Amino acid sequence: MDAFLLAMGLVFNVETLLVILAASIFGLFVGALPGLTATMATALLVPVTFYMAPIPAIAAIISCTAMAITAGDLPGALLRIPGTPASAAYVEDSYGMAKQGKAGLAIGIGVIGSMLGGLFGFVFLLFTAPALAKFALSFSSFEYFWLAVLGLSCAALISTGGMAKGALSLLLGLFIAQIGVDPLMGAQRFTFGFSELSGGISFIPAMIGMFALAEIMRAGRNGTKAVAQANVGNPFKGTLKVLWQYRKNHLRGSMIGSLLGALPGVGGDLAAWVTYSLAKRTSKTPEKFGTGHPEGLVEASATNNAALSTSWIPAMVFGIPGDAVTAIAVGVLVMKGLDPGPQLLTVNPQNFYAVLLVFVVANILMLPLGYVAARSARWIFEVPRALLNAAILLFCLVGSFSINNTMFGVGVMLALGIIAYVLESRRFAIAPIILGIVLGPLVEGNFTTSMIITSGNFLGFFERPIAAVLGIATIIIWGTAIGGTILRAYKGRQLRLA
Amino acid sequence: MRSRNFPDMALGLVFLALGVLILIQAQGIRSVPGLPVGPGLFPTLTGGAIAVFAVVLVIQSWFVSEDDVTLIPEGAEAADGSEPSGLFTPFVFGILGATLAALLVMPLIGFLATALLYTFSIVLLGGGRLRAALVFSPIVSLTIYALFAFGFRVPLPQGIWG
Repeated sequence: MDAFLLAMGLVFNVETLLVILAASIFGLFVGALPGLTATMATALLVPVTFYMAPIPAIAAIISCTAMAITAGDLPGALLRIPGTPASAAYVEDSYGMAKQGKAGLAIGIGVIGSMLGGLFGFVFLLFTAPALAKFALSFSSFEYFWLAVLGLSCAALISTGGMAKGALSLLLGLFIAQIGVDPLMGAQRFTFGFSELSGGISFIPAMIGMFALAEIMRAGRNGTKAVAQANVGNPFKGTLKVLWQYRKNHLRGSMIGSLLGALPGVGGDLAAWVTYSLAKRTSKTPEKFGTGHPEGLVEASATNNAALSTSWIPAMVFGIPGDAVTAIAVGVLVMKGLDPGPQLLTVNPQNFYAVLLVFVVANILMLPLGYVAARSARWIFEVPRALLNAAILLFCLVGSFSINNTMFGVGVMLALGIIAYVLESRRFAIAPIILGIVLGPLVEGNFTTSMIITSGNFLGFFERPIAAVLGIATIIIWGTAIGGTILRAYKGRQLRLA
Repeated sequence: MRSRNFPDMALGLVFLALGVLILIQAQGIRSVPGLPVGPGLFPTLTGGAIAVFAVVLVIQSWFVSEDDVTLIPEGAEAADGSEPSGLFTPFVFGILGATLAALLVMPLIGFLATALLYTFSIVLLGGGRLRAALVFSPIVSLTIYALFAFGFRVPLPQGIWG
């Protein structure tokens, strides 16, 4: 109870509440614009959080992300251009509803459904994280090594482009993390005589380059030219009635989203697609899906924010992020001296509870801000892209510079932006690169420690029961992926020869 | 005749070269006496894995046609709904050129002057009108300057004005 009271003091103060409000507005604006992503919004926000206290910094990340993901429904409904991959799962229904004159209802379902789903995820996080933290206290370097590798493997293999590209993205991130001074023994690695590289590649300019600069280039000169075809009335009119009508869908979407979100590498995007498909398969009227039917929209919109909440479970309890956003958040936590892991819940539980409270505030804030966003959607969409690009790119410059007050950060941002742009055009996922950068030190540190303990014997990695289970699971996952790739290639070749 | 996936093959070769480079560099990292492992072990594993998967990618790209690989990431395809005209378009080159120029001149003329020129050029590059560029670039430059210089106390480059 003392920890919870301390947490309330950390959150319900002027600074933190103002940060939550400002970050939410920022996330809403970015998320609502086609071509700009929630991850970009988060990446752009990180340089600002550099100057904040720990809890406001994390609050900014959470609020911005939650709002950006919810706001991604706006262009989906009004322009048929989903703001996030998760929104793409139900864009045909939300846009179809708008064409039927129900744009407000579609957006209202997204906002209220997301809020309720996010709160469900918060409850899930509240009850499962402490139990997992106690379990994680018994972990040694072996368990942490395999857990990190397992999480990274899931993220890499689940990415678009296939196994090889996913693995290469991950390994590229791990390599970038190795540049600089070896954390355990102090040896210079891959610096090639450049003193600026001795400190390693800062993940902040790297993120800004890969998620913001690359995104601007990818979106192109005009971004997306489109004009909203519908005006949005009261987005909450009739929404509760529809949500009650499909309450089973909403509950199921929240539950599945919470479970999937807790798995490393899954995240809200894939979870939303899963539940939308499930809603269609179990519906009494599956033929209505994609025509402006709210059933799938109710289920999937609850899923994406529930998954967002629970994606923090592996990030906070084990220090192993499952997606790009939580990878960014873990980086911020480390930057603020709040090393994620079970100690975060046992030694400083007030910080953990503070993060939970931020989830509550951020999700509740969706209602008023979502309403304002819906009513002002046309104005948001009409912001000239040329001006937006200029503002975002300038922010990229100063954000990259401000971390170390050198132009080297700007150079890193530019270089990694180009790399991400090229790779993404060939369906290399970018999230595994960031995960590799963030988790690289953790993986290597635990690996090296474990090797020293076992005197270089790899079999020692399987001597502890939990480590053995995790290790075998990792090997099975990779074996299955490799076998599947070979089998598909063989079948494809047979078809071509036929 | 099916065309090979040469872009992916090229990227595979680049990754292969990177993997080999990492392996070579890792072998040169000095070990710590008395310890069974050194700072070069993990890079060796990383470089080796990169080389292996790069070879896999090269082989895959040989057998998988260019037509079977979309140039648009799935998220992008859903987001903008348009076929890009090429990877490095004039717009992209302009963005990169302007950013590189800003990187080079900022230490000389300072952040504020660079920001003015940079945002002005980006607005025009993005198809904005001259008047919009003239009005917007000072506003956004001064705003961001004030936010970081006075709000966050970041010592932004002053250049010849400092």
